[in-house]
Parts: sequence; C-alpha cells; structure tokens
Amino acid sequence: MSLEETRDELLKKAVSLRRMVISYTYGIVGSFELAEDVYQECIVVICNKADSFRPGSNAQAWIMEIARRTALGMVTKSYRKREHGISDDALAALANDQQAQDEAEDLLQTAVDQEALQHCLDKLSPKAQALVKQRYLDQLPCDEIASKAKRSLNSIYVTLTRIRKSLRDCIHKQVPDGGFE
Amino acid sequence: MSWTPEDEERVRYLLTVFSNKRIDQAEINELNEWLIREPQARRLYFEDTGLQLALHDQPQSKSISQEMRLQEARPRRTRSPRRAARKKPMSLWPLLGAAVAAVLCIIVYNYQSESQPSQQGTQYAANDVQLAAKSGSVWLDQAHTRAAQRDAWYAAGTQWFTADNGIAELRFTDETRIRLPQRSVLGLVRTHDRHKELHLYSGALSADVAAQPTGRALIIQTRHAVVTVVGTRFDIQCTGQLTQLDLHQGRVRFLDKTTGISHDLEAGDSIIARVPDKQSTDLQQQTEPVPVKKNQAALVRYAFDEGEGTLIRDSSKRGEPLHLNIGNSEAVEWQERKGLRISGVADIISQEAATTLSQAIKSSGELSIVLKCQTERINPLTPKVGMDRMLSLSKDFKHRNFSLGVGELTGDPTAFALRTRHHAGGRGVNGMPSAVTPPIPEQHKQEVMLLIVSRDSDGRIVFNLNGRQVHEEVRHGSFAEWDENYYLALGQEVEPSIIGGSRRQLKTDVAQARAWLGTIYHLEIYDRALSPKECMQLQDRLQ
Repeated sequence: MSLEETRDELLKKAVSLRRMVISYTYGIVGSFELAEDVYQECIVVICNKADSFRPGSNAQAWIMEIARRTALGMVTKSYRKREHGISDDALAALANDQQAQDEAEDLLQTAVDQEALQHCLDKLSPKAQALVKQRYLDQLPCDEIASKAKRSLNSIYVTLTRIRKSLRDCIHKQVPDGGFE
Repeated sequence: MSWTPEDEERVRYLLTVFSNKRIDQAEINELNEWLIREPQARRLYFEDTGLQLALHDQPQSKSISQEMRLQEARPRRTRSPRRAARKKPMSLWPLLGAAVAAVLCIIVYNYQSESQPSQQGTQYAANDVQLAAKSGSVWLDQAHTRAAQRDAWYAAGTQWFTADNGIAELRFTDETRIRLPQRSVLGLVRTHDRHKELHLYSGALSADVAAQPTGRALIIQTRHAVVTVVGTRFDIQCTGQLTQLDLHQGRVRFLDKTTGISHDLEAGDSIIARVPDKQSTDLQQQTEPVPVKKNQAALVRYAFDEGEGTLIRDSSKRGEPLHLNIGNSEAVEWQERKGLRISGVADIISQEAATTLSQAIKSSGELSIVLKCQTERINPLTPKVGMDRMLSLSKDFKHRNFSLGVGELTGDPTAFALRTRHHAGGRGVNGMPSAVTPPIPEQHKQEVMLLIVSRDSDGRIVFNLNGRQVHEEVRHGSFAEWDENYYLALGQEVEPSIIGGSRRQLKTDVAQARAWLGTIYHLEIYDRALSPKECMQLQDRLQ
C-alpha cells in the first residue's frame, strides 16, 4: 500500500471514529469544543504522521493514541492543570477497549443517522426538553440551571442523569433485541 | 463482578457531575475505578459521552430548533473571551509544528481569516452564509480536514460536504435557508453582484427561499439543470444520471441543460432532467432478448405459481435449488393465477442456509434483486426508523448480509431501502445506514411494481422502478465479511427460532412490527449488477 493510500485509509478511519475520539478526549480536556479542536488537530497529525503507521497494525488504537497525546499536549499548552480528570490508567483502559467503542458507536451512529434521537427528544416532557436545551444547547452549567430553577444542584444532576437514561432506552427500544434495525 | 442497573445509574450520575466540572476527588476516584475495572462502565462512558455530544450538536428537535431560530433573530451571541482564548492555540500552530503541519495550519488560519468574518460589527454580504444548524460531520473540503463550525459565517466561494452522518442547514442574511442532507456536495459561487448562486454537485438539498431582490434571483445549477428562483420552497436531488426538482410553493424557472428547454413550474410540479440514455434509446428498437450465459443467470428464481401448499420452489438453473418454506400458512394466501399475498408474519424462510447464494455474491462483490410485487400498506407497527422487510438474507434482526425493505423513515410505500453489510471503515454487521430512495411521486402506491436494485463492485447502488432509474448512490466497501450461514427470508427478517421449522416462540412482536404486507409475484437474485439494458428486458418479460 502506498503512503497516499495509507493516509487515505487512516483519514477514513479517523472520520468514522470522530464521535469516539471526541468522547475520549473529552475525558482529558473537559469540553466538547476543545475535544472537537483536538479531533481536528488529530486529522492534521494523521496526515503528517501517516508514514510512521505500520500497515497491518491496529489503526484504531494508533488514532486513539494520537488523540490522547494531542489532547494532553493541548492541556499542557494552555497551562491548565488537569485536576479531577480521568486518570492515566482509566484513559488507557478506555483507549484499549475497542469493543466498548464499537458498541457505543453502533448505537450512536444508528441513533443519530436515523434521527432516532430527534424522535426520542420529541417524546420528552416540555420540562425535560427545556432542561436539555439549557444544559446541552445553551451550555449552561448545572449550578446556574439549579439557581434559576430554585432547585438543588443534586436534583439537577439526578434529573439530567435520568433524562439521558430515558433517551438511551428510547433509542434502544427502537432497535430490537439490543441490536439495530 | 456483575453489572447492575444501580451500577449503571451511578456511573451515569458520575458522568453528569464530571461534565459539570464539579466532580470531587472521591467521585473522580470512584469513576476512574469503574472505568479501569468494568467493561460495561467503559461502554457506558463512550455511549453516554457520545450521547451528550449528540445532544450538544443536535439541531433537529422541533422545539429546540424553534428556540434556536428565536435566538438567531436577536443579535448573535459573540464568542466569550474565554472560548476565544481557547481557540488561540490553533492559530499558533505554524510556529510550533513541523514544516508540513505549518503549511496545513497556515491554510486553516488563512481560511478562517478569509471565510469567517469577525463576529462583531460586520455587515454580512447577501451571499454569505451561516451554518445555522448541523448534525454529524460537515466539511469544507473534500479531504475532510476542515470541519464547518456551527453558527460561524462563511463567505461565498466555499464548498460544503456532508458526511454519511452529516446534515447542514445554511442560512443567508435574508433568512433564505438551504438544508443539505447526508452525502451531498454543494458549492457557493462567488459572484460580483453578490447574488446567490449555488452548484449542487451531488446529493440533494431543500430550499426555503425568501423573496429575492429584482434582477438578483437565486440560481441553483446542477450538471443537468439551472433553476432560477425568485422566492419559494422546493427540493432538488442530483445523481449521476438525473436532477429532480419537486416544487412545494411559488414559481421557479427550470432550464433543462440536456435539452435546452426552459419550463416555468408552479407549486405541486415535479420535473426531471436526465442525461440522454443512448442505451435505452437503442433498446426501444431492439426488444429481442439477448441469450444469458449460464453463469450469468439468476442464482435463485421464484415464480410464485404453485397455487397451494407451503413450499415455494426455486426454478433457477444454477446449482442446487434453494426452496422456501412457509411456516405460518394462515398469514398467506395464494393468488388465482400467480402470486402470494402476505398478510402477517408468515415465517417464509429458506429450507437451508443460503450458502451458495452468499458465496457467489460475496465473491463477485455485486448483487441484483428483481422483485415484482405490490405493497398493500405500510405496517403500522413498524417504528419510524425501521422498514417493512420485503426480503432478507440474515441471521436475525441485527445481523444481515442484505435486507430490502420499504417505508424507512418516510413511511411511504414507494420509498425503498437496501441495507448491505459491507466492509468499509469497520462498520457494523447490520448493513446500516441504508441506501434509501425518496418517495416516488409518480408511482401509484398500491400498483404492482417491478423493482430492480443492483449494486456493482464499485459500490454504486441503482434503484430501477418499472424500467426507470429512480435513485442512485454509492456505498464503498466489499462484501468480504458476508456470513455464508445466513438464511433467505421473505416478508420479514430471519428469526433464529424459526430455522429448521421449529415454532417461533420469541420476538413475535418484533417480527410483527416489521413484517411486509403485500403480494409478491416474482423474485430473482443475481450475483452481478444488471445493466440498464437487462433491466429493460426484464421489464418487458415480467410486466
């Protein structure tokens, strides 16, 4: 395989892993915007380093390692101390667990591609929809949501946790037997 | 250690606290411990974080997108100094990276300077666009190295690529909106008088066009047509062979480049411009069938002329026949001359694994399905994201080599979907996402139709309905991972519990909720892509 072909294959793989790379590096950088920046930087690194990839070796693991280094590099460059982050051991366990990545990607890809998520969001109560909007679209911190709603921080945590659980179950329910349509 | 629902709830709760950046030392230690020890916790981490990302990117919910539009009517929110500061390292790359990286980064930097006007105090030009909403991956270049950012403004001259999972909504300053579905390529042309001009290279778009100033109509070009719009709402689809426009509101002028003829269209009109098909013109004069070599004949052929009983015979001449058994004869009714009506879960499945069929298709990398049928109605139990199964070569609801169905997403009985398991980028075993046709407006919904779906070794999937190509798309990848132990099923997916004639005991509700309801008159499957000429001949033979 020529370098050009290797690079193309690696880029294709990286594109198919976008959600997993962002989810993984989110554990390091702590925000989706930064994790998206990490992902974009990874794409550039993959272009530049494709010659160091050994054909036949595990491309997914190679990309995850680049993502890890890039994310850690970004944290260092921004002089931010990584407090209360996912530990190195846990990051290694996440990066090495391709089955977990593949299973999650299957669910998310089907959910998002087939608009199951939209369907499930529409089924939420108006209050739950408003909370999802505040937290994930407006990106308000939970503390601010709690203070506006005159509720405790913990009750917001619990409600958001339950909403995501119900969204996940709703998506899963549309794909029988724990599998996909 | 077993993984309980309480464990799952706890880990999800910890992820909620983590995402709020208020996690304390004891909680992060607990989360780390879970991630190191428990595979289910790692799956949950990726699943839940991915779901949060999808919610963060999700523009689709009506209630949410309405809210977004209200926000857009107000002055744009500018990037906070903190977020702007976070972006700075990207523009410093050229100083830090290697030479090649520097070149790439300069391109990115220049691109951002040119095509993202500053967020404050800028008057956008009439043909600048904002990425008002997006879902999945949306790119600004073919190499997929520049991701488009939601809410950012881009000057004319950009090109837009939506990935397999990408949807983009572009907004002009006058509130004209263009929605690009998955796998579309659109160019925004730089024009001197700042009128809006778009080139749809492939895929589709939906447009909701505000009234345009006199003399500055919005123009959309495809390789087959030029559409001039003063203000209206419509959908355009462009494939290699044709451009189809469906006009919902207002008026447009449609110039068919292939004939040079202009058409003024009104609401409710649809029109197609297509590449003149020399082959099909020649065919009209040449209707004599061309002899088919034995190894090019159908792998299986069912004529449905038995009239009674629970056996459907394979009359193909290639190897051992693959007969089908009807497990539940109460759900079928033989038609007087020919045909089998299916009114429920009929458990029609091959007597043995379709090994020869799978092997032949796997080895050629090509597939054609010829199906003459009449869909009676869409199964009301089928979920929105599902499809009624006409035919399937599978093991169960989640493992398949291919499935052909109808009604996916649209619930329309003239919208067909093909799922083929193919090896490309580590995709799953379920053949998702499907290649889906739009509803075919001119096809009467309950009519008998001849559907021919073919997929060649380059991944080009063509849907041909009643002798006319109605949809084309490309899905790269090989069939190398096809499983040769799968069974062929008709009108439903294979269920493991019905293999070998034993009674179905499980998942009846799942099967009922996806059963196809209608009459089948003829079915053939090939291990090659049928040519347009052969489709015409089949049309003559079977209609």
